[in-house]
Amino acid sequence: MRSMLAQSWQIYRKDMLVEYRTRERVVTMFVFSLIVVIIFNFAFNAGADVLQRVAPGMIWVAFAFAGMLSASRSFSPEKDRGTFEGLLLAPIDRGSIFLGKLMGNVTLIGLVQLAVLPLFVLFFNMTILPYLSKLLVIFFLGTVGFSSVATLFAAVAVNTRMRDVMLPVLLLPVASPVLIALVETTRTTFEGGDWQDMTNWIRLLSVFTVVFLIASVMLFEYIVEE
Amino acid sequence: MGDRSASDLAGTSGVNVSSGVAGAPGVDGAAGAPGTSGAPGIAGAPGISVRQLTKTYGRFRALHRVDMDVAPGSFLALFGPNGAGKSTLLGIIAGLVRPSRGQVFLDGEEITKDRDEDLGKRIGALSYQTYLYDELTVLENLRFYGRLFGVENREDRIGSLLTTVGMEARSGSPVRTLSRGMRQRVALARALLHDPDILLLDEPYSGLDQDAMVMLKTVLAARDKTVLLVTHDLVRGLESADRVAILNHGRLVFDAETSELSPSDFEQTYRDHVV
Amino acid sequence: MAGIAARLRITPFGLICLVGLVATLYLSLIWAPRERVMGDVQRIMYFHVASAWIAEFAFVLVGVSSVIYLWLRERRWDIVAYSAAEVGFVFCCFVMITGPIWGKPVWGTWWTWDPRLTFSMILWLIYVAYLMLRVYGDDLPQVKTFLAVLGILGTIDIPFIHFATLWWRGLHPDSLVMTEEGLGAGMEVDMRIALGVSAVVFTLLFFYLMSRRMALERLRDETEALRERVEHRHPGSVGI
Repeated sequence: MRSMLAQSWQIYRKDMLVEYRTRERVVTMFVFSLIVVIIFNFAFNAGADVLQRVAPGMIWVAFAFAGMLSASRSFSPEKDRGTFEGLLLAPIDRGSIFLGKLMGNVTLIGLVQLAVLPLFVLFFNMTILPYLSKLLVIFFLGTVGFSSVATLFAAVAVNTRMRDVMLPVLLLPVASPVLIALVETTRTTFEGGDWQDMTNWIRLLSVFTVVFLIASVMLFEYIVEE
Repeated sequence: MGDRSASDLAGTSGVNVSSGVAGAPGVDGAAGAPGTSGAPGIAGAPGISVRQLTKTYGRFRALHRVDMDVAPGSFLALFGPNGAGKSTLLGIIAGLVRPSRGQVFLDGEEITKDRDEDLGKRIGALSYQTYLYDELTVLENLRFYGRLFGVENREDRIGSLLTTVGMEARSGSPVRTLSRGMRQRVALARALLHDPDILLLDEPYSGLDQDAMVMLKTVLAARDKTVLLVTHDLVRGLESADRVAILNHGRLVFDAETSELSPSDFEQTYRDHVV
Repeated sequence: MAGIAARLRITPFGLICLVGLVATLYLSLIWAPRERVMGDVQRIMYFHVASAWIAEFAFVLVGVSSVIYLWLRERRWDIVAYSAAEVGFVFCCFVMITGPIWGKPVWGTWWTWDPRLTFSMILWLIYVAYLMLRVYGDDLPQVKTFLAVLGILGTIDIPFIHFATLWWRGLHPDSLVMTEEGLGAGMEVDMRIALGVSAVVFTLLFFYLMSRRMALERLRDETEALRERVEHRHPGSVGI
């Protein structure tokens, strides 16, 4: 277990170093999320009160797609340039490759969330400061849960002919409970609700995250073997 | 490095590619697990035994009941046209590909049943793909793989290998800026980083420049490793190997000691067997 | 009778299903009492609910056989999973079709995001993903493994989807026309009997269709093996 964490840390460090050199994923994810937010604004063309009600949904649509981008890009260059085989040849638990990739995805999505959320608040004239600590917990839980499934399915989709289409088709139905829970908790928070107003959702988020994280680590080994 | 005379002995007598594959009776029966094959003590390099190995990809049969033995410390060159199953065979031995049926043994120990993490420590792979990250420098690449493979005295080992492959001056350069030949040299260093005792070479000559070719030959000449080479290059394969084998349509169709073959006739032999 | 059955390739099992279906039609359409509020349209419930049960049950079967497949790596468990998914998908489609037909007169709208319908919709999408991967991943060496992974994750997901859709609507009680309690509470004994028979018959039907689907898949494998043997004997002559 400890060596597994150490190994995934190596993968994570390598990925982050590559990302630091290119900044490919963070930049595309950021621009993408921003565009989604702006397009949604056009799509609804409504007053501030309506926009504030749909804002939680908008946020999570933007982040879900940005998350898919990140997950997909965490495997596609490795696969296309053949370096993935180099990782598989290493004497490590293959679950640690998954964990390393997952940590990278959570980090990058988290960075994009940090950058986009203030703009969101600005555009939609919302109050965020009093809810910051709650949102932090919700966002972290949800991002880990969503990314677990996203990372696993990205490893599947990267092998298929239509990888860009396959990932949302595989991922979104399975991830729908997390997305529903995230939208609901975010909405409740923005409406000034307290933890006890969303006990069920927090429980669902936590259990989903733990269950799918464990399942994904276990199943990853099967996926990468030809 | 290995004992030259002892290794040479192994080289001439060691490799035994079973020839009774192509339709010979008696192969169908379950081939028993081989004992610990070969003489012990040849620099610790293991023997590889392949038994009834079959791999199908959906409708496509990449390998069909291949039986093969590579003695400890010997060098086998595997030829065959595209799609003959050569890379699949290497992939199975490296633990990247799960066989549909059949087994692979290293020193009598089956490696195809469950994935053994430590298998990676024994295998060095050099292919036409370098496994290097373009965005990282040579040193960063080697350090990353060094950590992943649990290499001891990492910095010293990397330093000496970089000197061996003549890349120490470029250790700080991003791989992206290197020529194809230079990348392949770094890839050679990467493959040897953890001092594996089995080398799997898949078209390693592609892009290798003259100097690097000499380096690779030096490494191979030490004969302290069991080597499996897959290549299209009949001449190069023939001159370094102890034994050659030809795969065609997933079957082993030919094998012989290198000493029994004349390089000039081999091209004709190859053509006769792959058509 | 047996002669006709043989000519139509109807197995005794199939015959039982046929008789059961006729009985179900009689019980639900004629024998069961008319529902006071909804009228005759409520009779679609006997088929809708039975199909919904099968759709969910079939996916659990996909998940269980997927686990066994990953464990044993035997093709037959992949066949079980595939057949269960395909037949389950048909029942799930039936749920998606009968739901709105029932909903239109009762709710006054074809579609409402009621928990059960939303649940079925998401399950339907997971089925679609599974079958799409099966078809479009045809050329992949690891496609069976991928499908098993999707089957397992999808099955684990079922309780989560269930609660998520339930609570999601639970926050908006005004749109809750029919709760689970409401559905059962208003039912008379005869209705329950009809529904019970329908569920049993649909389960039998599911297994019958599945056995036929599995037989078909095995035939395909056999054909493939024969083709291989012919090709092997006459290399190069592929066209037969």
